[in-house]
Amino acid sequence: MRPSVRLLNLEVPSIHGARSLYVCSVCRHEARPRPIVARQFLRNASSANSLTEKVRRKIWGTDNPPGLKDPYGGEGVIERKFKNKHAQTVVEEETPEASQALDTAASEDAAPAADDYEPATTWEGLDRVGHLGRWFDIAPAATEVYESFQVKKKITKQGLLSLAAHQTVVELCLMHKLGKPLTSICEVVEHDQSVFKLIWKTKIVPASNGQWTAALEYPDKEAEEALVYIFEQVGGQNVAPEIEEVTQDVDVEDARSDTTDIVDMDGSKQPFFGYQRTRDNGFLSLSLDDPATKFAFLKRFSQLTGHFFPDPAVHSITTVQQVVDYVQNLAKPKPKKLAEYLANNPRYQSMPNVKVFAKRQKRSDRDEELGRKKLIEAELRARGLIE
Amino acid sequence: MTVQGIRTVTSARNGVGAFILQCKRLDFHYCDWAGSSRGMVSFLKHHLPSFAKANPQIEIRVSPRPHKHPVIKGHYVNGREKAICVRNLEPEQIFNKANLLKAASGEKLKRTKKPIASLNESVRGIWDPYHGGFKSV
Amino acid sequence: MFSRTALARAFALPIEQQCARFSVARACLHSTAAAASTTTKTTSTSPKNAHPTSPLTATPHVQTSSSTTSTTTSTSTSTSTSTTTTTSSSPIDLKKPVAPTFTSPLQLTQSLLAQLPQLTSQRPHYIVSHLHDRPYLLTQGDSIRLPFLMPKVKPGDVLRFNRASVLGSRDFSLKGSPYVDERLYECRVRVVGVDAEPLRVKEKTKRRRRHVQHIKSKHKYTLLRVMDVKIKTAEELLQEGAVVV
Repeated sequence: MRPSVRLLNLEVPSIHGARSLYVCSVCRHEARPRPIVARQFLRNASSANSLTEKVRRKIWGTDNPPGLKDPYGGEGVIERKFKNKHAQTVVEEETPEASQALDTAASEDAAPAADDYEPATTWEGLDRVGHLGRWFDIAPAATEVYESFQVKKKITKQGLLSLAAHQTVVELCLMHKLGKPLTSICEVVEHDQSVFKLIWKTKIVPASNGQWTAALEYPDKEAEEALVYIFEQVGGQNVAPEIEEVTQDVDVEDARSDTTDIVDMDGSKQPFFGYQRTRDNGFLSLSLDDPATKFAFLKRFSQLTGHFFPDPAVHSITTVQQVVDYVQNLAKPKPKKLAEYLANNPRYQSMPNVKVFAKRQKRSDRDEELGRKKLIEAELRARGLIE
Repeated sequence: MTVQGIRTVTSARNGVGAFILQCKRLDFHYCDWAGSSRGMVSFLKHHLPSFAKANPQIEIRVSPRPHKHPVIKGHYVNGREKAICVRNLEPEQIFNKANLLKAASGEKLKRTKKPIASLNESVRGIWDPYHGGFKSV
Repeated sequence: MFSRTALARAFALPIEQQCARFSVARACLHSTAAAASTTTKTTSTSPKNAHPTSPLTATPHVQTSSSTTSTTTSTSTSTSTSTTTTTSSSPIDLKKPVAPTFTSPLQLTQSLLAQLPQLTSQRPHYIVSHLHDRPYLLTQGDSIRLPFLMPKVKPGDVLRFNRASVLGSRDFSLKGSPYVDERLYECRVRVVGVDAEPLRVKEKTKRRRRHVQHIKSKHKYTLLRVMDVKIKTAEELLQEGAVVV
């Protein structure tokens, strides 16, 4: 609303009947709502049923009294101007498409209803909108299934954690070498067993300059070619079949030699196919100074292990060793309760005069200690107060 | 020697022969969650073993008291007990409080004027005008 | 009350030795023929012929056993302490009392030697022991609440009081001038605990100031128990090396 009009409202409060909208403190008492009868006299004589119109008709004795319809001249100049403007803007705001759509919808609805429309008396037989509470019976669509980025069960064992870190390091080194985007390795959720075995056999020899590209030491030339070939496919469309083809022959060679390290042959449910530990620990000293490498490493590592890294932890991490340490610290939380700590403390166990309780000692415990609990309970039972 | 009445059975006077510390039990209560117990938890972790070793005659009980301030409670031979709230205190201060409870006698605090309380009857007897070396009557 | 001189007299060793020597020189029984300048006297409150009913030749009393135990188990400390047979079993060497060094053996006069059995054989005994120059009249089994907190003692410690002005029984008393030699008696007390008074709140006001200051104080006091009051017999004194003058 324009300021002048607002002022107008203030000064001529009787225009729209909104008398108490803006009232200054001086004239507040004057602006109190007056009786309706008195208000009817004021203005708007132009409306047909107003009191002034009635009076005019009575005076003239006809339904169409002569003279001006509104003896007061109708609305003022400013009011009329404002009204016109307001109407124009409102019309402009309505987009033509919307109005058309509304019109068509209204006409479509109206067309069939015009002939045989019967208002329904009950809800039976009416079309349902939504599920009306039975939504959980409906099978989920393919798009609604949630697949977790991380593994469902967090990995806490130390050997498995280092396995995951080792795998991540090997993968990232290869991606560095091939010059591919580092995080695209996360598209491969799990490798084939033979590929994993190749990765597992690969050693990490950290270079002096901290480069990730030259850190790999393959078991043999063949393995290097295979790994490079596999990782060239990562990020492409048909990854899986290629990997399977390549790994077929490698599988045959290595299957016999490395069965000793596999603890559990039922690798389908086991993470890392039952492997329990890494072959060397050279990967631990690799640095994560490069932010892109650090991000890629943490992303892949958290995907493999299921651990989340909060921002402060990410900020403080500089080497792979720290990542593994951090996750291990998370995995074994300290005993929180003091009672457990004291009970586990060997200094207390040798003390004959110290007694540590894990629970709060109540009055009933005191009764039991003094040997009167049985008496109390017997008496209570005799009176029927306890069962 | 004057006539003496029948002597009563001697009442216990701790310390004349054997000495028994009046504090027989100390209860340490703490809360795992509350911050006012931080000093108490630290005391129980690090200082209590040495305290218990130094005072083998006192039974020490440690039990949680959730959602309350930490408290040390001393139980005494005379059946009374004394409790000290040790909220927000440092371990050293708590150690001092525990020593205070240990050394206390367990009696209700009283203001006394006389330093000596004796159960013995007067050594020199009650003064009597007809005995003793009176010089003149 | 605790003047500096009194404290110095209580704690400092040289002064104590002086005192000891001083009292040794004066410790003799009062007799009519004795020199008038001696201020140590045994006054007999009963008529001379009224001898105590208890036998004069009392055996060394039962306290010997308890005294030996106390000396072996305890670290005896007191203001101006002296223990003759303190063993070095105390855990804290700082607390070990200063052993008295007597330059001359205890001297007994003939009159003291003659009348001492009357005092030693008549039980019970009392002692007016001085601590920080305050007298405490003690008998065996009394409980003392000192008007101060004694430092560096803990419950269970045994102290030996070695500053007494009067030793006495019902009919006899041995007065020192000002103190009796500490080798004539044994008075041991046990530290029982530490007591406190109820919290005192002192309201302090100033004029025309609508404010009341509350001063709180809660003093601590040491509780003691008198273990034994023993006056050594003449035989014991001679055995310990007393010299008859």
